[in-house]
Amino acid sequence: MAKTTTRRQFLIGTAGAAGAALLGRAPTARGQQVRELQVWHTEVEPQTVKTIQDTSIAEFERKFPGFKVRQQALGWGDLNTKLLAALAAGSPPDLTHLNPFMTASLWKKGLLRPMDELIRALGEKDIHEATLKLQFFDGKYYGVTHAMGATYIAERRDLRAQKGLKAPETYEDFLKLTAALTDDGKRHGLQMPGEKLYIGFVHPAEWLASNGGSWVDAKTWRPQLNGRAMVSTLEYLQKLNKYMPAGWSGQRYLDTLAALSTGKVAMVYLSGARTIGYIERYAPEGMRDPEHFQPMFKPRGPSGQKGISALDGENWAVFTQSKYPNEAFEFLRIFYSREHYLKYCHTVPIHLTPIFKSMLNDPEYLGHPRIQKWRTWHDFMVTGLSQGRFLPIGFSRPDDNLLPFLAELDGSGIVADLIVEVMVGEKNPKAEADRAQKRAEELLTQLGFKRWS
Amino acid sequence: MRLSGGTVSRTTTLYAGAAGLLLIGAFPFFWMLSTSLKPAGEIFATPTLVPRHATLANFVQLFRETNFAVYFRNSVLVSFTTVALTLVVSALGAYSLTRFRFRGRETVAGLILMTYMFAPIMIIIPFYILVRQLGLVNTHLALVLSYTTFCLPFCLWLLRAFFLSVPLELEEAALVDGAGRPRAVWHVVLPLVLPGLIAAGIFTFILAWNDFLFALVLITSDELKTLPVGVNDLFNATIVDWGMIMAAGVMITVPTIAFFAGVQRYLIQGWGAGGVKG
Amino acid sequence: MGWLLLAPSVLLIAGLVLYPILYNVWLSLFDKHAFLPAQAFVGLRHYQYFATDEEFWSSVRYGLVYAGATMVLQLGLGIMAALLLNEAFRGRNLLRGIVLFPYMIPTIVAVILWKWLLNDSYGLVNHLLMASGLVRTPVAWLGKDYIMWSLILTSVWQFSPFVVVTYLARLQTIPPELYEAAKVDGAGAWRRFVHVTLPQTRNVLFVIVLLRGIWMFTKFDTVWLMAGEGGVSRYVRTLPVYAYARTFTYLQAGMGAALAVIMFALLLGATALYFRLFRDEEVVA
Repeated sequence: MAKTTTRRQFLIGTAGAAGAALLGRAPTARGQQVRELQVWHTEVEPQTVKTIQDTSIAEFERKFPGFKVRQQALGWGDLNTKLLAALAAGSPPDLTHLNPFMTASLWKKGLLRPMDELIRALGEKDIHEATLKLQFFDGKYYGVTHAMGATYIAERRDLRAQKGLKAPETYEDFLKLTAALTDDGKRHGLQMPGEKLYIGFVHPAEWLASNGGSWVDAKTWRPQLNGRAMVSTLEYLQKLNKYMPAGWSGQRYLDTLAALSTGKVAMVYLSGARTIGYIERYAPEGMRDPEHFQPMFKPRGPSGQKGISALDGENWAVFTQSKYPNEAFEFLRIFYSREHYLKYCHTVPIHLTPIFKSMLNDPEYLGHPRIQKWRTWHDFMVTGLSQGRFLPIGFSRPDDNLLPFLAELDGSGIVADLIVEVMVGEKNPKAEADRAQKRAEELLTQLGFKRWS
Repeated sequence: MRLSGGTVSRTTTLYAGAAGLLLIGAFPFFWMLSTSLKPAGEIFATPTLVPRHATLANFVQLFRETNFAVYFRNSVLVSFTTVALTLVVSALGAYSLTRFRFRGRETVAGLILMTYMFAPIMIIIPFYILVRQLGLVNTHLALVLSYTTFCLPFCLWLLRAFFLSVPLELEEAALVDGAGRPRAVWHVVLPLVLPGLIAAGIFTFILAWNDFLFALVLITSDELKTLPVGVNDLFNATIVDWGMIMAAGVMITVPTIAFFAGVQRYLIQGWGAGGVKG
Repeated sequence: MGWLLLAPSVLLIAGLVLYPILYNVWLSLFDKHAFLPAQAFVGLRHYQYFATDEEFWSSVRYGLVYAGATMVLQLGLGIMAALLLNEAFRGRNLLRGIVLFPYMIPTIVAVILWKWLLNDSYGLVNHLLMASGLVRTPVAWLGKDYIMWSLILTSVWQFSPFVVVTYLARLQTIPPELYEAAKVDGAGAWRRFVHVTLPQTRNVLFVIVLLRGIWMFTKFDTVWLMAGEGGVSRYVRTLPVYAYARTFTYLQAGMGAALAVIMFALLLGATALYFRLFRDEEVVA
């Protein structure tokens, strides 16, 4: 008897679960009948997502009844894989952010729609030169940057001031500064992020650019990983490693921001205005201000002209396979309308710097309390833009937007292994560089991009 | 006969060992719970065993600011659908393997057992391509089918053992009494193999609830993600918020433990008949 | 009728396991992008390439170290725990349940939990080590030198319960008379274990080692979640992780498939050898 009851309960439970499963599916099935504009972007902060929903999406849905906008915020480390998978499955989003280093390869395959009309409507002359032509191929525009965020070093300005040291210009200066700021057992001079994406792609591109090097030879596309620019950087990095926490290669970008805020390190190598949020949250009271925390330009190598940092700015793009391309462009017009765009940029101030030159000095834009308090960070950003200190993420030269294999090079982790083995593994820089070079040559050959002989 | 001193030291060793096991098994969970109840300030300060000012803020943040609730719902949906489907399919299969004689039965049974040894990583690539060709990428159905497939070998063998232990005569008696075969199975056989069904259901649930690889590869949109992948993304995006991450850990663990505690006795019983994947 | 009832099972397994395995072999003969449709026949070139690929051999080595170390520790710990839980003491049933927990939770939880305990700045382990004066500066558990050990620790914690429960289930079926007889003969605890317990549990140990060996050598999620996208993954890049990476980050699905086939072949070979060496009597699963 008891057994029967248990069985019944069990079966009811199972049936109930199955029923719930069906009910749970129902709304999705019904939802497919509404016309949906799929929008993917990489601004994952909850307040940004909410603001886009409340401003641009709300207005769009008012203007286009029968349409529903579904936005999806993806971490940008995920973006490439997710997009490629969606393209392969034949269901790409109608409108999406792209990493500039991917745009060219998608354009080459004929997957992107031109958007000249939109660019002209937004004001071709007003869009900042640092981003305007990044997706300009064969005389047409294929993308427009959503907002500009720069990356740079963030430092404890108060500590450097105590030591009486100037902002570093060269690798040598930076080594001296890092050594001086290291306080044995208590504080490390510097921490770099451990993610492959940063340590093996974003930063190496910057180092090559800051030391007169490049990923590949411009003509033959032969990798340049064991060239002088890379090898002399590796020697410098090996020395720099002494002043970093032992476990940095197992930690991540956000760990470094926490370490900076809580005083465990004096400088972090990858920072942007987003860091401000962490400082305001985790730094001790009385230190949450620009007197203690400041941005700093990256140093240049012995063969470089100036220190280059990555410009973090994905571009909006519309696929040829997009179901509602016209609506996608309409959505962008609404998105960039002054009123909405200001609100959008204010969701993560300074990190989302407007692409319109006219807005950079706009009192309404600058009036945001956080921009007022951290005004030096904004000014730093503007200085960097005017001095040409920024290159898009993963670019070692401006022309790298034409390389169709940067995503694979990044994904392979070949460069990450090189950097980590030299820094943490204390291997010989030249020998490791030769190994990485061989691997990279093999990879490009396998991918069918070998043009050298 | 041992001296009493020997018994005392034996008892001491026993309890010391038990205490050690308890520490290893339970302390990390306790620490997770404790961290999840700490405010941000305490997390970065010198660790204390229990929070000085316990707060539910981390949990509130988890549900308000992240998609955790959505992942949770998806996990529940996928896991229970998988359990239901797996039980039906494997019970039918096991019944067939024990009650009917047909050519190739033993070969099929052997082959099925062999697939038990295959790890998902060995077939994930063609599996992904296959699912894409079927147009099932980014659907829960793809997850349910893959979990069901990977649970089947074990569940079939487990249930086969249970069906074998039910004497044929019982079933035949019911048939003689005029009940049709479905009725006979429903009223006579199923109650007797219930412990096996429950054990198989739990194994299936755990596999589906815990899986990372299939969910990682097959699901792309955020609103369809299940917990392991969702929480991993959360971890990557908010690594500084250890309190919130631990709160997520607590929320994932509780259903498993509750589910498990409720039916533990069946589980151990079922386990004797085999193992579970992992 | 028999076939009819079995059909759904057979269909699922044939369609979603066996077919992919064959397809995998086929795929490994092509140069195929993970997402784009282009593919080109290359014969055995991928296999040729991997034969001299340093990355491949290093991934085999890391895989063997990982599988070997976790196996030994799981078996040792698991058997000891099972023997303990087979004794009578108060709270035994509760403890049997608790010991299972680590095996029941998702890998992601086990990983974030240990990453937190082992965090170098704020983790409990370093705090205790420093407070007790054992180390002066924090140990970088998740850095290059210790990441493999941290991974092994996490895995052993997570998977030992499988050994405990499976072994315990068998222990409970050993007739007590055997122990009584050994006691009468004056055998101590150790000799009783060697002469009674081990022979009795030989078969179950055979199965445990086989299954766990296969599963540890093909373990993906724990390794990937512990270090997958970090620079430190260099030092724990096992074969499954390498196979995954070739497909989904290098985007070379054909090469990834070849690695999966190699993994499969290695396991098949190892299993055959294992059966030859150790299986001298019928083992019932």
